[in-house]
Amino acid sequence: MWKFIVRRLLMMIPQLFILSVLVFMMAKAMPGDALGGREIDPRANPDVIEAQREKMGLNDPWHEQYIRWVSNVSKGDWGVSYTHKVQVTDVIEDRIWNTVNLALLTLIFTYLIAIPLGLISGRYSDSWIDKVITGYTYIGFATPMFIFAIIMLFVFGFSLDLFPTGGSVNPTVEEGTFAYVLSKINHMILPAFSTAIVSTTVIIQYLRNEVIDNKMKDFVRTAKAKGVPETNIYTHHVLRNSFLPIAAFLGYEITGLVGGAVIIETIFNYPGIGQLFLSSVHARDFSVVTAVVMMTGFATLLGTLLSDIILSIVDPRIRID
Amino acid sequence: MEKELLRVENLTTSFCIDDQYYAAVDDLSFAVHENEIVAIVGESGCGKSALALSIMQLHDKKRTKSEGSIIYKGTNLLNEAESKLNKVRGRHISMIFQEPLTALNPLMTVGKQIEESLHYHTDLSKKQQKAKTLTLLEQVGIPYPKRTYKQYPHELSGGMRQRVMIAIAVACSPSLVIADEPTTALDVTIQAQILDLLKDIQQKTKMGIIFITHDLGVVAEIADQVIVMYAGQIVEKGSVKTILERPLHPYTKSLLHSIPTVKKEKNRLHVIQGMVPSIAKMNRSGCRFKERIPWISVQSHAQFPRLHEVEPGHFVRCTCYKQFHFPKEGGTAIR
Amino acid sequence: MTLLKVEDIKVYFPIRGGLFHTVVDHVRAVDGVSFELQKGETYGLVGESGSGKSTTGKAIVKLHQVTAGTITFQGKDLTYLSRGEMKPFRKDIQMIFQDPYSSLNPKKRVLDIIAEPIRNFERVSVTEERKIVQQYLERVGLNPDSIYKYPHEFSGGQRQRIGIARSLTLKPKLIIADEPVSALDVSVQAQVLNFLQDLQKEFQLTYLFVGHDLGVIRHMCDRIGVMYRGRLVEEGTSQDIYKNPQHIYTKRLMAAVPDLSPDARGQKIGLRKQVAEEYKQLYSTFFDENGRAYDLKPISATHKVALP
Repeated sequence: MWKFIVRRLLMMIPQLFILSVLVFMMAKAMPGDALGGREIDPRANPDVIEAQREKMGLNDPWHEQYIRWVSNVSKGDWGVSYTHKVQVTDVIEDRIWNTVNLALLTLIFTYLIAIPLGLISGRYSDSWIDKVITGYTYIGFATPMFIFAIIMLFVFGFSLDLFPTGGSVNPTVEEGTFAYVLSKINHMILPAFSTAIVSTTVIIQYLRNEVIDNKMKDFVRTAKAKGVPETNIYTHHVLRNSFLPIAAFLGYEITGLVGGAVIIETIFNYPGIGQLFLSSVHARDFSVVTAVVMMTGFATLLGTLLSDIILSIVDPRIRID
Repeated sequence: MEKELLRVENLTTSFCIDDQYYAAVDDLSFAVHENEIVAIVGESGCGKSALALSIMQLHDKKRTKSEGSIIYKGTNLLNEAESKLNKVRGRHISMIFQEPLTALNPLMTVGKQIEESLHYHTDLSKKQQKAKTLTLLEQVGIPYPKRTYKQYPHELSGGMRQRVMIAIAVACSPSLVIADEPTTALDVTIQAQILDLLKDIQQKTKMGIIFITHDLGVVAEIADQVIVMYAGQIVEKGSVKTILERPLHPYTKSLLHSIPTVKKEKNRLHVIQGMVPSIAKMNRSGCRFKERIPWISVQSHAQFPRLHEVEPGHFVRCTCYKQFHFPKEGGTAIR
Repeated sequence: MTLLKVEDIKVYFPIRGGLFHTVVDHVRAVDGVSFELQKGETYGLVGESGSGKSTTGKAIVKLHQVTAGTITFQGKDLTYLSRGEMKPFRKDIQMIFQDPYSSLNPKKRVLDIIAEPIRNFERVSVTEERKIVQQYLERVGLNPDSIYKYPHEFSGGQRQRIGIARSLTLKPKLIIADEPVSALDVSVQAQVLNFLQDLQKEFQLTYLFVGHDLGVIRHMCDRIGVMYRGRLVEEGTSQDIYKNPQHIYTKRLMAAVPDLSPDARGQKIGLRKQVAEEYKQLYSTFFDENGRAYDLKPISATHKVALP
């Protein structure tokens, strides 16, 4: 088991290297740089700007800039944000926990919805309740997430005024109090739920198929022949076996959330990494963009690692020394 | 005569195909006694597995219906509620399946799968269950019960897995075990071991066994009574000696002539013409075997073929056996 | 005339492990097997699962890479030929597989399945090709009009015959039949076995028949090699093997075969107990300290046994 994890971690080194090169080159390929953006006074002397570029090393060949960037990053120095005028790590630190919390809540919602619905749908396949559930998954499948998000925002945020429509916390509550935590959660419910009801549909369908598959398996018939009551057959035999691919899904789900954060945080005006990413792209703030992309890429790699580890724990057949 | 354990009377099991029910087991009657091994023989599609699942009532109830009666200890199992059946399954009547790899839960340890039976049918404590499981594993010839207890099915060989299946089946000392092709997936040397083991347990516990197989060699090794099935019906029934040494029905004779055995030198095998009809396309009037012996005159078949006793304990369906002979050239025409 | 000569072939599969997935050991699936096939005979390789019999068959048609040893066909060493160099020999050596349900592509029509080898090796017109396919279909006892049907429209026995028709189209000299009847019912099995015998006469075929059913092997084969743990433990005519088995493993195998007469039952159980006892006692005389069978030694003109 440990060997497996170590091997997987070692495999991440080349993956990270390739990722970092790609990220850096993409950032460089974007038109303009921090000194070409609209923040610069149009009356500024082009020679001064050029001198500034030279000083900041923006005119060096890309591989030199890359090596400089990597060696800094490895020391924990992600550079200074051109727009925020502070260390990139500080900019990100403010936002990252918002995104992580939101992602966690989204995951909880996703599985809270998916597990019961998937199990019911699979166990009572072809009944009316199964048809209702699969009907929902088709709608969720076909509708883009942002449409759901906008509808949710409009209905529960603006019309019914049940939830806040922006921000991550009520500015009037004091940090560290219980009310502060409640306010944080309150701000996350709407974006998390909007994401969950869409992303959960894939898992529901997976789980349903797994349950249907498993309930026809020979070992279920063996359990019946042993005299195990129907309900216990589901709890003891079908469930665990059906969770296998779902567990594997968890890692990929994290990956999907990272990508979805850009849209959802923008719609709900939620100060997280996704929103930061988008505004930094607009501002040509490369140091922030590269840092965000690197981090999300890293999260993705960790997600797939997590999937593999979970899978090897739940399934004894692929348990690795 | 030993005490009767199970009596099947006029059992008909039909499957729903395209909104119509077709009988896979057609008006079947037989009995199993204590200390007796009844073999049910036939090719795939003859209804033998459907019969086994009907007795256990493991068919999907939505697409299957069973009529007639399956009488166990004075009650008709077909009229019992699912909760009552769960008290019988695994406790009084249990089952061994063909493919032990798929028939065991891949994610559950062997020990847990045996204990499950004990859990639902006995009052044993957890500790007693484990002790009993270890004894069972030892009884079925597992060399290291303590280690195997913690292993998963995929970690065992085919023969060991089938021993585990047997341990599950006999865990609660049932009075009847239904074994559905238990050795078909195994190598011959392992098959011999498993047959010897089953026979051994059966003799010690005096249980009855319904042994379903397509292999007449296995029948010769283990059975007391033999039922030959064709197209959902019993075509011949009798003691193992009668059926293998003095078969009467054309189907039984043909089967015996089509097996290559280690005793016989190179010779032509008899080929049964045509195919076992599928249940939806089966001709249900007259002798069901008549299409496959076209060289026998139509007059020799009974109009309403019944299973009748031709000598004490030997039953045959139809009258065509009286005129049956193998065609010249061994019936080898391929068509 | 010797058609095929297999000399001391080994097929090892790597076992990977450790931190860097390096090869830590090998599974010796076939561990030094030698035999010869004379033209027109049927040679049976019999053994239990894991004995290496199928791997041996597949190694000859290069479905497995041979680790060591030589395979000579009509005097030509095939062992290390490249794909291209192997091409002319692929026509001469064909294989029939065990499972007629999975060895035919379900999305292809019978015409395409049977014509595939012709398309690979010969250049014939479409009408010519259809004629050949129909001719072979008829030869294997199927309706020549069924060329546009798909495999699922046929029964197991019929599918196996489609597989056989495909292997015949290039007029092979040697057919390797890997458990060709194991998935079939007895009556269908009889049909396929008879049919294989007819074809042998008609096309002067040589068979390498791989199987586990000792009845079928006895029925089909002139000479038999018994395999156990990747080695041949005994080889001889079917008389030698069935009437006079010498190796302790062969004896155990024979004792395990069910007897069709119920009277022999008690005697059989006794025999099995006796052989099992003998097997335990004599294990060290028949296998070396690694549990490996010894090399074959002739004990008569036709009979060889693995003895120290």
